[in-house]
Amino acid sequence: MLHRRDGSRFPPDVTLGIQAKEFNLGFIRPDNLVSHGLRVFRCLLSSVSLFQVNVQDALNQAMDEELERDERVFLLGEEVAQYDGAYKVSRGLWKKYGDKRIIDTPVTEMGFAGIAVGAAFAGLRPICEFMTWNFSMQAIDQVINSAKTYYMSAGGQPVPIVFRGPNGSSAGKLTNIYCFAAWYGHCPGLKVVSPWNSEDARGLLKAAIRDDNPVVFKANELMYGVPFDLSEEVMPKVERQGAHITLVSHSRCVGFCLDAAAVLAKEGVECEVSIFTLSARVCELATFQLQVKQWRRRGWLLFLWATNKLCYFLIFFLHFICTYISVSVSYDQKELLDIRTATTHLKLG
Amino acid sequence: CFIVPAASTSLPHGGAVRMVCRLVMGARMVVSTRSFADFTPQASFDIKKCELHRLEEGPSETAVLTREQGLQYYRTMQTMRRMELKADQLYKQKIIRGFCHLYDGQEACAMGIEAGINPTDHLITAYRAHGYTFTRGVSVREILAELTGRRGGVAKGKGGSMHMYAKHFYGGNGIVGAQVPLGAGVALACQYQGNNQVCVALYGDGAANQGQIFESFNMAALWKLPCIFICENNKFGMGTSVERSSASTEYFKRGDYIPGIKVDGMDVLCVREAIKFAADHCRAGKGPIVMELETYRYHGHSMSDPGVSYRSREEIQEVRSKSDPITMLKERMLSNNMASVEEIKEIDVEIRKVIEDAAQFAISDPEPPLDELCNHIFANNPPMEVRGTNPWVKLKSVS
Repeated sequence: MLHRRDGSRFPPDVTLGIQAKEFNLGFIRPDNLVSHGLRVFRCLLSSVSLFQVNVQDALNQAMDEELERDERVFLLGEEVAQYDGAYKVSRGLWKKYGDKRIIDTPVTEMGFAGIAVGAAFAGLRPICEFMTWNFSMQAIDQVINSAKTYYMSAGGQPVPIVFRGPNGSSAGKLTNIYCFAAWYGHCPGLKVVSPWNSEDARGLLKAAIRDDNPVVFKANELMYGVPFDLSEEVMPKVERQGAHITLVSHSRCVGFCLDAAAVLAKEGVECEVSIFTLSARVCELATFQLQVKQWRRRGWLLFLWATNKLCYFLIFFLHFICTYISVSVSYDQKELLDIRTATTHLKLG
Repeated sequence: CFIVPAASTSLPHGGAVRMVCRLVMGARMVVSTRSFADFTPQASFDIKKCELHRLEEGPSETAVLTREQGLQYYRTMQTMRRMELKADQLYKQKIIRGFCHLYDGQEACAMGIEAGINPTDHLITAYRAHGYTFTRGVSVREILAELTGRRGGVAKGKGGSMHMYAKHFYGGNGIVGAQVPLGAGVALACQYQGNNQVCVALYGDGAANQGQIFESFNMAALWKLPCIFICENNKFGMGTSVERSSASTEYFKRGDYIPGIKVDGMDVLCVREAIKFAADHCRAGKGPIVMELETYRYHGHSMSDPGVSYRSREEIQEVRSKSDPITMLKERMLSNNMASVEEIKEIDVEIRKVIEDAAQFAISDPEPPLDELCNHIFANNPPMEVRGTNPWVKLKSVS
C-alpha cells in the first residue's frame, strides 16, 4: 500500500481519497510496484487523474529520464550534486549518476556557464543550473553569446545547452527576486520558456534538453512545492475557458490569473486564462494577438509579469475596466486593447 | 622536341647533374637541378631555455627539424604573412570593412602550436584569429572571402573576421576573455568522452587580467581538465602596454597553482617543443598548464589603429629585423643547407599566386542573398517567420 517516505502508512481515507502532498511519484521502484499498481487500478475506477506531482519533482523526473536516455546529457551548477540541489530539484541524481554527470561547481557563474557552453560546442548536452536567475547576470555574456554562435557560423556550430533555474518572485525577500524573462526574451537565437504547472515543466524541460539550441528555462521557486495533476502525455493547454477577456501569463502569475478569473466569474465576466504563450519572446506576441482578434468580439490582452500581490491589483483593475470603461471592439475594425501590467520600476537585483 | 641529356659530370660541390635540352626548333634550354641528396635531411637546433613555474623539468632545449617540416613551416608562415598583408591592402581599398585584427609578426605561435598538437585536438582563440583559422585547415580563399563578406566564405559571409569556425576550431570570439571558459568547457568534453584529446585556449596579455580566466583556471585545476591555457603576450593590449595594465607581467605564473612555461614566441621550434611538452602533460592526466608566448605584432591592434601612437616605429623595425619568425626559420634552413635560395623564392612566388587568386575570388564572389538573412537562427527547427523591422514585415527563417 502507499507509504510515507519515512515508512509509516497513510490513514485509509488519505490513501483512497485526495492525494497528499507527500505523495511523490518518483521512479517506479521494485518496492513500490505493488502499491503503484493498486494506485493505478483505483484511479482508473474513480477516473481521477493518475498522479499528483509537484513542479520540483516533475523537473527531477524530466532530468532523470533525459540523463538516462542520452549519455551526453550532464548537469552542472552550484550545489546540484551532494546538496541534492539548492531547491532539491536535482535530488537523488548524484547518487544515481555520480560525479561525472552531476557536477558541483564553485561559486563562479561566468566561469561555469562558459564551461557549459564550451562543452556544448564539443558535442555534449549540458544542463547548466543557476541557483537563481539573478545570479545569471554574472554570466549573462556567456548565455547571450551562446545564442549567436549558430548564426555567426552559418549553421556550422550548434549549441545544445539548457540554462535552468528559479526566476521571479519569492517569499518575504527584497532581493534576488527579479524576473528576467523579458531580458532574455529579447535575445535572438535564445529560446526562453517559463512554465507554470508540473505538466508543462516536465514536458518543456525534456523538450529543452532534446533541443539543439540554447534554451533558457525559468521555473519559479514558490511553484516548486505545488502539486498538480500529471498525465502521461505532456501538452500545454488553456487553463480556463472564457469568452470576454483573455488573460495571458507565464510562470507563477498564471495562478493569480486563475484566482482573478474566479472572482470575476461571480461578476459575470468570463475570463480565458491561457498559458499558451509559454515563451517570453516578444515577437510571438504579434501572432497571438492575431489569433485573439479573429475569434473575440471584445479582444483584450493582459500580460502579467512576475510580481507579488498582483492578484488583488488585477481584480480591482479588471473590475474597474469592466464597470467604468466600455470598450466595444468590432470584429471589422480589428482593434485591440492591449494592457500590460508589470513590476513597479523600483529596483533590480 | 626531344631532350638530349649530356653526360653527367661531377662538379666541385658534389653530385649536381646538369642537363642540356635541345629542342627541335633549335632553341637551347639549360635546366639546372640539384638532387635531393644535396640537402641536409634534418638538423638539430639549440633553442632558448624556457622559464618554468612549478615544474621540475621543462620542454626540450634542442629541436630536430627535418627538411620537409622546415619547408612546410616556412610555407605556412609565409602564407599567413602574405594573407594578412593582402587583407591590409583590401581593407585600405575598403573592400574589407568592419573589424580586422591582423596577425603578422605572430606566425610562429600559430605554426608552432599546430606542429605540436594533433589535428584531432581542439583550439579556441580570440579575435586575432586569421592565422589559426588557416593552420586549422581553412583555405586562404575561404578566409579572404569571409573577410569580404561573400558567399564563399568559411561562415558563408555571416561571421566575418572574428567568427570563423572549422572542425575542432571554435573561432574567433569577439568578447575579450570569454573564449577561455569556453576552451575549458571543450577540455571538459574531451575528459568526459575519454578521447585523449586536449584543448588549447588562447588569450592575449590584455585579456589575462579577466576574472573569468581565473575562474577557468580554478575549475580546470580542480577537475584536472586537459586544457592548455596560452597567453600570447605581444606586449600591448590594444594601446596599453603590459606595464600599464598588469601588476604582474609574468603571465605564465598567473595560474598560481597551475604549472607555467614562458616561451619565445618568435621561434617556431621553441613553440613547438613547448606545446608538445604541454600536450603530453595534459594527456598524462596531470591537469592544465599555462604557457606564455612572448611575441610581437607589426600592425596596430586593428586596421583602425596605425600602431605608432603608443610605441615607436624604431621598435617595430628592430623586432622586424632581429626577431622576425619567418626570417629566422629561413636563415636556419639556409645556413644548414636544408634549402636553397631558389627553392625559397619559388615557394614565395607560388604563395603570392595563391593569395592573388584568393583575393580575386574574394572580390568577385557574390554576397550572400538577402533572403538568407534570417537563416540559421535555430538548429534543427522547422521553418519559421521572423518579425522584420516593423510588425508588417515578415522574413523567412530556415535552420
